[in-house]
Amino acid sequence: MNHIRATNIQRMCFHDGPGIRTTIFLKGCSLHCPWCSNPENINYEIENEYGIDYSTEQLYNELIKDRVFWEEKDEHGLSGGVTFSGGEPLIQATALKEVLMMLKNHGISVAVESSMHVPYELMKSVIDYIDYVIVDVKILDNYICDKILGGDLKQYYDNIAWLYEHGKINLFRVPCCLEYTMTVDNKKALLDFLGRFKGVPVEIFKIHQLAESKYKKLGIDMWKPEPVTDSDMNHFLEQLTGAGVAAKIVEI
Amino acid sequence: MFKDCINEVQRFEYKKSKKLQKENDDWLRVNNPDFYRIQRLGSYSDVFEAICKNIEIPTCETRFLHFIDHRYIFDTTRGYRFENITPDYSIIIDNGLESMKYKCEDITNDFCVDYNRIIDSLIKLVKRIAIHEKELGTEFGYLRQVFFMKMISKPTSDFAEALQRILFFDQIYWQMGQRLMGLGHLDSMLYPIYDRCIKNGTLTRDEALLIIQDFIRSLHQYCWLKSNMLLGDTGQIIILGSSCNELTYLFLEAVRTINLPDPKLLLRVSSSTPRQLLEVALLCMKSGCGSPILANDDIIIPRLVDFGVPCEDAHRYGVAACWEPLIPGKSISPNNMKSITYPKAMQRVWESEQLTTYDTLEKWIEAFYKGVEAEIDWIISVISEKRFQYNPYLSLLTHNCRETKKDVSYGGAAYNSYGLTTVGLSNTVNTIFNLKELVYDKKEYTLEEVRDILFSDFEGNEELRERLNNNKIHYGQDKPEVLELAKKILQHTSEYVSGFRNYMGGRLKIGASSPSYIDAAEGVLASFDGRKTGDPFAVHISSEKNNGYTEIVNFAAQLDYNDNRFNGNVVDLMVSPSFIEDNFDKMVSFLKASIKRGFFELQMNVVSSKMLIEAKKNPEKYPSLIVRVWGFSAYFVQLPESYQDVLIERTLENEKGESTL
Repeated sequence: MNHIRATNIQRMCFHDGPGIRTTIFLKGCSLHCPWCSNPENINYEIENEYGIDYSTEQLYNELIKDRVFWEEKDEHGLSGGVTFSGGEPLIQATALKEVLMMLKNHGISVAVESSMHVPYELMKSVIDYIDYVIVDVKILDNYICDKILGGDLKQYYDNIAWLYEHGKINLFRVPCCLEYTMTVDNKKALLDFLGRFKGVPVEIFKIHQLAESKYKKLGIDMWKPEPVTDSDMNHFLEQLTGAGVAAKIVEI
Repeated sequence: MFKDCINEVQRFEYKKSKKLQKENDDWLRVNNPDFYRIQRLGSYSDVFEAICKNIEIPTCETRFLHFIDHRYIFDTTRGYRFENITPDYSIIIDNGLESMKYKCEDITNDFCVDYNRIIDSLIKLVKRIAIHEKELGTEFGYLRQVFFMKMISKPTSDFAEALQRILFFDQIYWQMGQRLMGLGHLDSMLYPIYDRCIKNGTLTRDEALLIIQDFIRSLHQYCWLKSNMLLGDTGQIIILGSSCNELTYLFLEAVRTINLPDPKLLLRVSSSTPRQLLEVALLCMKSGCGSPILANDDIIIPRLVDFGVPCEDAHRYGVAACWEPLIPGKSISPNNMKSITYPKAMQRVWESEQLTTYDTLEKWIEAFYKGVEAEIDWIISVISEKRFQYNPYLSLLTHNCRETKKDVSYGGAAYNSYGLTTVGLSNTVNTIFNLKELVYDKKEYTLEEVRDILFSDFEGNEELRERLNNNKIHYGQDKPEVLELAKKILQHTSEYVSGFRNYMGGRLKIGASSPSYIDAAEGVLASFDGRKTGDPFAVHISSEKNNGYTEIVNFAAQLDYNDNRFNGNVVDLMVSPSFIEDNFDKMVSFLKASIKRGFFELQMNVVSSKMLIEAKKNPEKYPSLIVRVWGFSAYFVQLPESYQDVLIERTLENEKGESTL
């Protein structure tokens, strides 16, 4: 596996890290969240029109087209750059390593948005080349996490512990849906979990229903969740703020 | 409010239908037969004198006096009129009228005689106005009496006085039948007076803001009469930022707060423009007034210098009514004489009897170039015939004319080049990529089949049309093959027109953005990018199919503006108001980086599709919704339906992209 498999390269993204960013969506995921808004990135295999293989050089050249736009620093003095999203970008860590090294070598800021449901070694193998880590926080019950998402919380906690210890977590993100992440128990677990990482900002957002056409093309039935209201969000925000968590609501 | 707008539309329509002209003619014949006779038989200076003598001075209760008496507008059928230019008002800010006259011993030709006579006529008018203002007995009237009397022999010394003087000399242009007149670098021109007044305590920043707002309102007052093709298309452009000062900020603030579509602002920027100024500019854009358009000094000035404009002048560049660079007070360049319509050249290929012999893409493109050349030949044959109106009044505020004792129409100005625009480049580039794929590579269609499909306007071929529309490779992408093709077409045009010289010795310039994307498309055959017969062409340098705004900026920055290719090249972005609101800082960063990346010019249409669709349905609810049309802004509800539809479609396409960012 020496190519990198992605479905889309989205330029001028404003919500995936500091500054103006080019976000690449990598194909393949270690989880299968029911609310997934990029279902084309769950499978690693190429499906219909989804999936392009890039060589390291090809990908690098494609990614740096907006380089001049990254030089403007944001209010925290951070530059824009490239964000690896997915799917779970770290699954392809081995194939990605060279691109990440090239970006680092050219002083380009690299962000990763990861569920951190990946083997510790895989995460460790590339973490030195990553400047900004966005970590998803989802279901925090061992059994439900495994059953619904297919995730191993032990692996997740190990990764988080190492990352936090090394000052490598820049942002937590919580997708909000009433059925799973906003249940009474899970919210309690989230408050407890996030409360332990004071100083790391948290973004909470409503899951959205914009992926319908993608689900259709993939021949998968889309899960229809109960709509999350603004007051649900505000209430959760209050709880988080009350627990001393630096949270805010964003739209994604 | 809405009622006023409707009246403005009606008055504009009335004017456009030429009924106003007839009404005026009838009125003059009965009420002022002397003037009627002079208008027909007199020389330029005869008519000028008669106009100054006859125009009626209205009673004005606002701060500034600015009026056009539409009954006495100069008859413009005496030759091709100068328009789309900007005089240098600093001349009249720094001089009284008397001092501009030729001394007796210097009068050596007819031009000098006419020139002095123009000034004498103006002085008489100025005196008449001063008396009128005194009789008003109001505070503003008294102040204006002083301002007007000073105009005769003294430079200005007061901020409001300088603006009043500009308004007066500007109104005379419109009175003389000229159109699309720009205002020039008002921030740098007025700064010395502003600074002096602030320092000596006769003016505060807040007062200056109020004065500028009143000035803007006065300029807008005759919008219906000043408008050219569409209501709002007045060409009243104020240039800011050539040297950034407090007035740069004040003008942006004034335009943002009174929110009128006209006059409009152009802000000159460069990689050293402070972020704070870009923030204020983006705030102004966000207000939806359509201003300012940004022009990039780093790109434009070197192009002007290469074209032969001395450095000092190049640094003083402004633009014609829309965006075509010129040197205010030194260029009489009509920069928008005609539009080269690339799809018309494509139509020539489809109509050619040799169509079947174009068995390679190269041959097809060669035939297209022949078509472009034929289009240009025709345009040149038309513009070569044009002789400009004798115009000593314009000469008065144009440098070099006084020194050379030569009227602008005889080449008295320093820069006399003509400008053309191009339209439909996007449609052409997309057509060529479609032909490459479907005809020459995959051989799914023959050229004859394509021709028949186009001639039948895609009847029964809706699916194909969709496919053509959605080709993965298209204009506006920063892919090497797209850029290469777009650049080659522009280069061919550039080279083909480079030998042209007009009767004053001026050359021809071209640009890649044109106001005529709707008008020029009328009746033009469908094109193989999926555009149907008569449908509008793509707008300026834009593409709603792009992957974020950075890509179109990257594309524009890599086009070649060298040689004569600098006659306006505007990136046109559709942005929804909420998108700016939610991402203000990052949008400022985007602007700052885009300048560095090197766009030529950039403008934004800040509107949402929801609002536009609503406004089209219920115009009475949206009387003051402003949109950018080409190089000007207008009230959306006052636009013809065809323009409304193009805007709605573009916002919809854009929002599809925005929602994923």
